[in-house]
Amino acid sequence: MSLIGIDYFILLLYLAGTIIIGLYYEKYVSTSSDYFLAGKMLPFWAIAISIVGTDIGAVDFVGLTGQAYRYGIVVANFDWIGSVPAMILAGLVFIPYYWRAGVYTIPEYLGKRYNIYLRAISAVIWLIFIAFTLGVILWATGVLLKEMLGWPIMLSIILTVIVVGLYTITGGLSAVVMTDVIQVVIMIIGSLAILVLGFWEIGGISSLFDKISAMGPAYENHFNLVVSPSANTPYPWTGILFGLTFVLAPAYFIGNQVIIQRSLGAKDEWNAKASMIFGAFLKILIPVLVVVPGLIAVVLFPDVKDSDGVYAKLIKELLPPGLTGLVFAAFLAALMSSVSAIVNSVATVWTKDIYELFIKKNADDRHYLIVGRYVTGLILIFAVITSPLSDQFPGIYVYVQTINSFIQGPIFAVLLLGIFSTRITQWGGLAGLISGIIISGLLYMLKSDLFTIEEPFLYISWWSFLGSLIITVAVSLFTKPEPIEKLRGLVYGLILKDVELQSVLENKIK
Amino acid sequence: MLNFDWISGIDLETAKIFVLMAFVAPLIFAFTLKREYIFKGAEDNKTWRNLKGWILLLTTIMICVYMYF
Repeated sequence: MSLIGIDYFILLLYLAGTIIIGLYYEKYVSTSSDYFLAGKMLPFWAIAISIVGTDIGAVDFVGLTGQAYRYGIVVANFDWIGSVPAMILAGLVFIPYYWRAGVYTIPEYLGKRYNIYLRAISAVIWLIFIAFTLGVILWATGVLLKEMLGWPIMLSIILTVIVVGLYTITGGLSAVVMTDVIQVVIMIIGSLAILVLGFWEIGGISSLFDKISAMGPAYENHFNLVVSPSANTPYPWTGILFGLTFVLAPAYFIGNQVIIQRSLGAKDEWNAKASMIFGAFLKILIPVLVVVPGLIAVVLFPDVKDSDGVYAKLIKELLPPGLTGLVFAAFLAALMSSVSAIVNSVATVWTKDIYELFIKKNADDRHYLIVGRYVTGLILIFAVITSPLSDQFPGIYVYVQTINSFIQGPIFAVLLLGIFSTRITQWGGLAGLISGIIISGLLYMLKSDLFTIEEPFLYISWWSFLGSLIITVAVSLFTKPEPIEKLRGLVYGLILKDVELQSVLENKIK
Repeated sequence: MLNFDWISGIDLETAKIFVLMAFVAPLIFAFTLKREYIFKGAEDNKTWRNLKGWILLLTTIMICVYMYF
């Protein structure tokens, strides 16, 4: 596959537009709050679009389309039941409390609710995980672009890092969110092009149903969202419900700094809440853009061996010149929106939870703004340097995702109990987090003896969550309750019952 | 036990009811919240800002999709 003049023109137009919009927001950055939280000025719709843009990476386009080709619409569960209930819960319960607490990061909330140890542990674990993830994402996308266009891997990586660095270092969260808006629009237009031309080619929606249904028993679950554990699928309904819906999805939308940071920059509490609910509406559309093309590919190319190659095949077979450039612009947009969000969040956690807490306390605000900018640049350089590790250790992507699933369950358990119960103590939370991570590790090491499916990460998430929950409660019951003064504004239900507390919080917000 | 063997034997229609409950539960929760909590921080109390309405629409779409597929 190769691009021609009009395709390159569209790509250049996209890159130039992104840089100009990003740099424009530099003039709004004069404090660390402007840089890390966009000066708490963001409207709900921009936050919602940015959350979706961050969530969908370039690799997801290829991966989800390929998985849909292989397993059918069951993959849509990740964006539907694996997002919508969690986003409602996040929007109605967690986001307002984070926002009212005036925190910059999730570890900062954990530090206020529990103690400094929990704050430091969660910040360090998260920084290590996310810093390596960034290199893996860059490399994986570089490999895809090399396979599709023949571009050298490091060229794609360095191009992305320079563009993202320009607007993220200067404009902070405002630039990240506003460029995300443009990037998501381009992603949607590019994906719609494939969808419309695909349906045109196969003869419409009813033809899609008829043709796949007639392909025999191997495709009998291609239109089922609820699939039996006895079927040959990595997504049985038990794993989807217990692992994804009850643990991984809430952990992602409630405890992931990359996602939450945008809502913390909302201009008021209503916009913070509405951002998550509106984001859920947008998430409903994602499977239409990435899963349905996989089903179209089943009809068009039923004999593809490597399902991850179907997205490239759709682009090659369906799109005319010009639209190909637009789809690759969408591809870069998906990559850049994820990278910029991660980099901005890493800079925030490092500056607020490590640097300000342990290295240089009580410096002036300008100092922390400069540190945030330097860290943003340094993390991008670190990502470029570490990205070739993916080539030397081919399984690193799966490994990093597995490690991620180790910490999601315990972090969610600690957040859930911390926000819903005043009886949960700092030592209960600390014990629950550490033991939950240990349980995850043990389950993973013994997975071949304990589980019947090959990659039981959904089940491991559930059991580590449950283990963490039980240990947090048990240790809390044996330790001294926290004073109510400490919990003010941090535990659900305390605020509306307490007039004095309500006025304290309102003053804090002002 | 760890593989959910104890629940995997139930038929898919019943499983679908469990799955639908994952959408119904947050909807019910949203409707138990007080109006002032939903509108807190909003510039005005216009009907379109009522997040309960948003959630009703959102979950209705999802319930229809899951009932069909």
